[in-house]
Amino acid sequence: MANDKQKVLITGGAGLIGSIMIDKLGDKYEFSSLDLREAAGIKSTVANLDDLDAMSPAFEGIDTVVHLAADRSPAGSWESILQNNFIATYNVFEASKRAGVKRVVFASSNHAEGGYYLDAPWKTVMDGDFHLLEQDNYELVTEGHMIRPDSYYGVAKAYGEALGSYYNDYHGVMSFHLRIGWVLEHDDPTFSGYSLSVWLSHRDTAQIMDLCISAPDSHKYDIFNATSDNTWKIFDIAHAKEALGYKPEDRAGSEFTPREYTRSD
Amino acid sequence: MTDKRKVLITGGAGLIGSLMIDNLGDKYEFSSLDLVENPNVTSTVASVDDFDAIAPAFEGIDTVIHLAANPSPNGSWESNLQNNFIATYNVFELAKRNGVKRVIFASSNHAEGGNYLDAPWKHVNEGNYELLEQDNYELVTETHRIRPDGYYGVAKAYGEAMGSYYNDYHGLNSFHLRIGWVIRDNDPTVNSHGLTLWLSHRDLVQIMDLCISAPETYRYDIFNATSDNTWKIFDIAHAKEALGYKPQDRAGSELRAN
Repeated sequence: MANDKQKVLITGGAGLIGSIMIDKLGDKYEFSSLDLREAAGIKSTVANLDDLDAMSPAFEGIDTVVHLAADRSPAGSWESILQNNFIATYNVFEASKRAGVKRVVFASSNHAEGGYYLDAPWKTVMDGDFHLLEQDNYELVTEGHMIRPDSYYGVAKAYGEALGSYYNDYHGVMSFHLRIGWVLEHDDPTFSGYSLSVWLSHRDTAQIMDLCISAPDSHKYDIFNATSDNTWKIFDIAHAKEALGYKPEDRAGSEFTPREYTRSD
Repeated sequence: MTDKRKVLITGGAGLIGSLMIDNLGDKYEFSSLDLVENPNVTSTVASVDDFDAIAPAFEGIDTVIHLAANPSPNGSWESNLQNNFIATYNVFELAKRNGVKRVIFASSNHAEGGNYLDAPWKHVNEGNYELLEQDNYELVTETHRIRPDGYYGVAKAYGEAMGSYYNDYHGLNSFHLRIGWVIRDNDPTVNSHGLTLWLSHRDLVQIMDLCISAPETYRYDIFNATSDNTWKIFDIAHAKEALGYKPQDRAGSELRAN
């Protein structure tokens, strides 16, 4: 058995989600990383995604690209988001097209729809005022809701979904877009109403990424809300369940103690 | 007397801007921001991708109509990045900083042009009307998922998303018109694409007027904008219901002889 595994390039492979994927799915796929630093244990290209020429070699021979790299701050400035999210995402789709990559899995975000947090019932969930709601009996935000970003970061995620649609229709690069809730380094969502609602656990992250990478070629383009099966949802995950076979294993409950969340990197 | 609303048109020297200034010039106090002067109104000559150069044009403005762009649906990434992505950020950001109340963004059918690949819209776009039953097929509404047909179309979808953000978080209202096709000689019988997408000159003026004068309580929306053409791809019911748009023109089924 030389090499019948799918070759999967992860942009941002040295980051949190990339590390979870490499850790949990490393036997199933042949991963490589494109990031500003090396990802331990796998082939790594160290380059900035705003540099199309420098990053292009990383795409040679790749079947699937998982595009995670970005300025990941929802409060990122226009200048940073323009460079690291808008231009970088164009570079990823264009390099994928040129290299004959079959599919891009784009880490979109709940922030593409974060404007809904301004309104009830989602504001109520966000604020952790669960007693004002009846469980499973309020409207959820589906993938069919109008785009409503809460930041330049969220605008850039909506843009990535639109760019992916164009490359699928006109350049034969398929794409899936995961509106990721919140992947936490310590995997513990019990610190706010928001984290309880949008938590995507490590193993559910690995599962839904696996499903996206291995989906049949006939499934060309789609957008999926991606959280665990949390008790107090804002986002409907029925579409990922039905269309991908996503079976989330984790479920955040109702109890939380307000705490700061910080990441080590 | 200056109780007229002050309306800055980016791209005010172009086709749509000139139509607005010619037809609505008595109702609004227009000014223009474009690469060339519009001799009929106060003009700032600058490129919209130059934030500092265009900033003075936004002072004292009530409403901005953002038309300036690389208008080619096939424009390159590099050109769209500069003239459509960065320029549109500049417009929203300067509108915010100057206390502008509303931006009307010229979005485009090309934000949804990927739908032309599929029936029934492909048939309409290609003029194969015999495959269809008039008024009895699905139309593309404003709620269909975004499906652009070029970097241009992606940039238009981006502008709508940007407008939503500025409305929700910066108090800057915005309307987004997914404009069909405004044709210089106003004759849609040039091809089947024209017959379905035509937005006549007077219907353009009407819907722009409605957007400028809509109440401030009406904060954000997206509207398909064509005339009341016989063979539609885009549903214009929302503009009729929510804005009171009453299109006066209707393209038929026949193309002109070459």
